[in-house]
Amino acid sequence: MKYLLLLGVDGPIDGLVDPANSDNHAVLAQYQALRRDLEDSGSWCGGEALQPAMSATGLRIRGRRVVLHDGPTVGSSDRIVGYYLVDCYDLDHAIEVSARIPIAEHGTVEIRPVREQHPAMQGPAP
Amino acid sequence: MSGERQEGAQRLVERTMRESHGRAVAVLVGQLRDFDLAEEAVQDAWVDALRTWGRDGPPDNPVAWVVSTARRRAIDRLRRRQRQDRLVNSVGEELLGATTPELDWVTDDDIPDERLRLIFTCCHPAIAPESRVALTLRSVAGLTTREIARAFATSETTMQQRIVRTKQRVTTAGIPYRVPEADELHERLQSVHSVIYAVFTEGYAATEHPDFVRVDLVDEAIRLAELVCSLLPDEAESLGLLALLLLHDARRPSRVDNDGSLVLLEDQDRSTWDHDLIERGNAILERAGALGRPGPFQLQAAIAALHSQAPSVEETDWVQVAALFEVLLPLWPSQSARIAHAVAVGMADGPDAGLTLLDRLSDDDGNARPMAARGHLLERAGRTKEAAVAFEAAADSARHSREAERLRRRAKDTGQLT
Repeated sequence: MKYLLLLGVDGPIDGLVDPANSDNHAVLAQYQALRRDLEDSGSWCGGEALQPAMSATGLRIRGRRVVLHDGPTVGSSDRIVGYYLVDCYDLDHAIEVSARIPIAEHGTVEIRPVREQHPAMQGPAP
Repeated sequence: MSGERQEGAQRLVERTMRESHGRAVAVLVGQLRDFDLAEEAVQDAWVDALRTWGRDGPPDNPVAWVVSTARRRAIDRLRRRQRQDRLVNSVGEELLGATTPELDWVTDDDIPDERLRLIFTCCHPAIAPESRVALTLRSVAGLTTREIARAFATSETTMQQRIVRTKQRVTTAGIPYRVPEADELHERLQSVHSVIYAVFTEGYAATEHPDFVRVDLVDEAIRLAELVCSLLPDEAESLGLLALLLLHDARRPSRVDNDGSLVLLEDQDRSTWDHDLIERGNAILERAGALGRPGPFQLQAAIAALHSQAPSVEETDWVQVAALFEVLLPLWPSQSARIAHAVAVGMADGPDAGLTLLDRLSDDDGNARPMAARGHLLERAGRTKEAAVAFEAAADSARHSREAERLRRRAKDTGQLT
């Protein structure tokens, strides 16, 4: 089953790595190794680092008008700095993958199962 | 006549349910890959059993009967779901297909024991601790939601919601239905042990319930520990846990007096202790020790064993008790273990040594126990006035009215000595 792994930070850092940290190349190497392993095992479905939260745009439709909001709007989303979409056997497998994400050492990884075959997200019948 | 037969059948259903509910659910979860559906289907099967066993006579192999009936009921439920256009998983599709083979289990012994997988699923660390306890009691032990709610002094609705949510969580979060690999087995077993221990302590030291010792939960915890030991016979800590529970339970007859008040270890009538249970506990602890992998439950069982061997408080090997606590504390840094350690040191090396240790504990949790321990050691040191004050303070923060009564009596008795 697929899991969305949301990478969250707890402190003031707004990104996958701390720009003030001199050891960043080691952390980046860990991310690269994890990606390689996920691709090799066929678990990789996608994943990106996100731009800082201040670059987010919120959108709501109110009274047929599109209302935009400057900045993060979904609850706590300002803490999310990246994500993975992985295909795992079960939660234990997803836990194993998440425990390898360097951000878990100081931030949080939220393991969110993807609802598969949801009619709302399915394309038109062939 | 038929009334009697009906009654006999009902008793048989109840007994089979007690003994085999977990086993049936475990098999069904394995086949259906749907925790909720398995639970419901087995529940349906028990209802069918109540209806038909009295009428047609009980089957030769009750568990096999329940498993195949539950399987048919699961298929019924899947059909209903399909009609309501709800999603049916791939296993469900297969079951609904015309080619579904009939089960070839004829006798109960043919049914594989899959309860270990079920236990590890119910006690998965990704489930909140209180929900692990509830789900284990429901699915493995087969207690009804009402029984669990009563045991935890909460409403049936609340407990029902908790169990339903937890079962849904098992499915949607993808919590696996398997025994963990060797490298993670020990860590996962710890979670299983804490669930069993939580069931036991809830039953043993009730805070809100009128009956101090809730026998149901104590028995369930022992049954669960026995089950784990029978399925994983070489796990030292599982054996240690079982030994600990048996040794504690051996004192059950003397823990509560005729008025229902809690009796402290020092005042218990040791002749009423169950010596068969003590012997069993000691034998299991010995088996655990022979495996050469010590751990916190074995240490606590060893402490309980020392108490159970001692003819009186004074004749207890307190030096050994204190030494075991010193090994235990880094592994099990609980407040109650620290208090018990302080008392043991006070008994072994004199009250002042114990009081010094108590002074180092933070007593900010408003718990009666550290104050009561202080009173006990002060009394032994001959500082009776201070002891009476400590017992009064302990009574004020006691969580159970009977415990408060006992502490006030203690304060009064101590005060009269001056």
